[in-house]
Amino acid sequence: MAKGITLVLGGLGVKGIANIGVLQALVEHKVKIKRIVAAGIGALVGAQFALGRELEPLTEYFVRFFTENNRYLWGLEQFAGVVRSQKRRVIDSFNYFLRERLFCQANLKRISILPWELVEADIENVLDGASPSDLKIPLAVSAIDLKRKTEVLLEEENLKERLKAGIAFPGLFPPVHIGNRELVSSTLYCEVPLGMVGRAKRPIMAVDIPSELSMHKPGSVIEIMAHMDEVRTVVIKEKLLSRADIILILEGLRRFRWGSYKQIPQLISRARGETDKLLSSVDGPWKK
Amino acid sequence: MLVDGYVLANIPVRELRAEGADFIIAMTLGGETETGYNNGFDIINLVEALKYEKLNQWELEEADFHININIKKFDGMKFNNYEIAMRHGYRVTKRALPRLQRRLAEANG
Repeated sequence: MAKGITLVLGGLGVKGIANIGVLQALVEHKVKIKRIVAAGIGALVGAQFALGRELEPLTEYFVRFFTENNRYLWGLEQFAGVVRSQKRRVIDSFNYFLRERLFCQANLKRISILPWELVEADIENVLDGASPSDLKIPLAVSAIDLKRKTEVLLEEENLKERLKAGIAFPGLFPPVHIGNRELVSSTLYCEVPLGMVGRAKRPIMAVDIPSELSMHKPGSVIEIMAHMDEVRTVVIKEKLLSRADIILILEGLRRFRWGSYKQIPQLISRARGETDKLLSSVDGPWKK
Repeated sequence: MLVDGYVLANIPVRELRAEGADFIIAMTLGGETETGYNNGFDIINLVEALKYEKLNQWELEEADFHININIKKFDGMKFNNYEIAMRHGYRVTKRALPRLQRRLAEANG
């Protein structure tokens, strides 16, 4: 078995940014990474790392992006006049947020809430002309192929399209067309993209940035549906995590919400601290 | 707070196994699900359908025998079709009986 791990990065919504702290701790512990499999915003973070670039500028980028676009992204103006408990639910649940935002006159017939134009230039800026041959570590981005109804790993495709597929959250951005595939992000399917990670490149280290399941009494049908979706996601994740050899569960990040863009620095710092603590208690030939 | 168990397991094989069942026949009423979409809701529902199918697949892997009755062509809202659906289920199950008997014989050693 070649030294080094296959690192699997996930995290729902903004929480995927926490992978910056995870990677910083892995570097400090001299963990050798031979392959990265990532989904959601974790794919953007994973790409930056796999290209051998510093992660700090990415932190600044995320803070700036979410601060500048928060009203447009969250559609908060739509929720003016909405009861407080409902607003809280939007903040608690990504799935509920998507359904709530789609279920309005303006969005009901649309494929997505947001257009690609909002982020395309930013993805290009982050990549800064990089091509797949610039990757120092192989990067596979997890996505769902809607046509074939299966999870897929994108390993050869153009980096920009790969990353777009990684963050094409269903209903938030339009699906990404690559060849005859129609791709969306896999993070709503499973927060940790382990479904297609083969056993050939063991050991597999999975980083679980858990979400808090809301336990309050639902107040609408949409809320019940969103809650059922979340329960399914949790069960799928628990089953898939058993495929990993090393699991880092960042329990302290559970309290952060999927859209906690105002807490990005704290999210990263907490992830770094927790990963450091967890890595101190495990050992293996994958540490240099 | 309780909802229909199909949310997690339309075929509750593991629950039956936990209760001590030693031979479990799983019946499914599936067919090919849709892959088209017209709006964002459809896309979310496609991803949910995929999760649902994956959970069912894991349950089925634990069953001793599986019979699938494809009733996709029957519209669930047209109740006057129920007799045709019943006959279809009867035929499919009857065809599966020799295979089921062989499997039972194997299981009984």
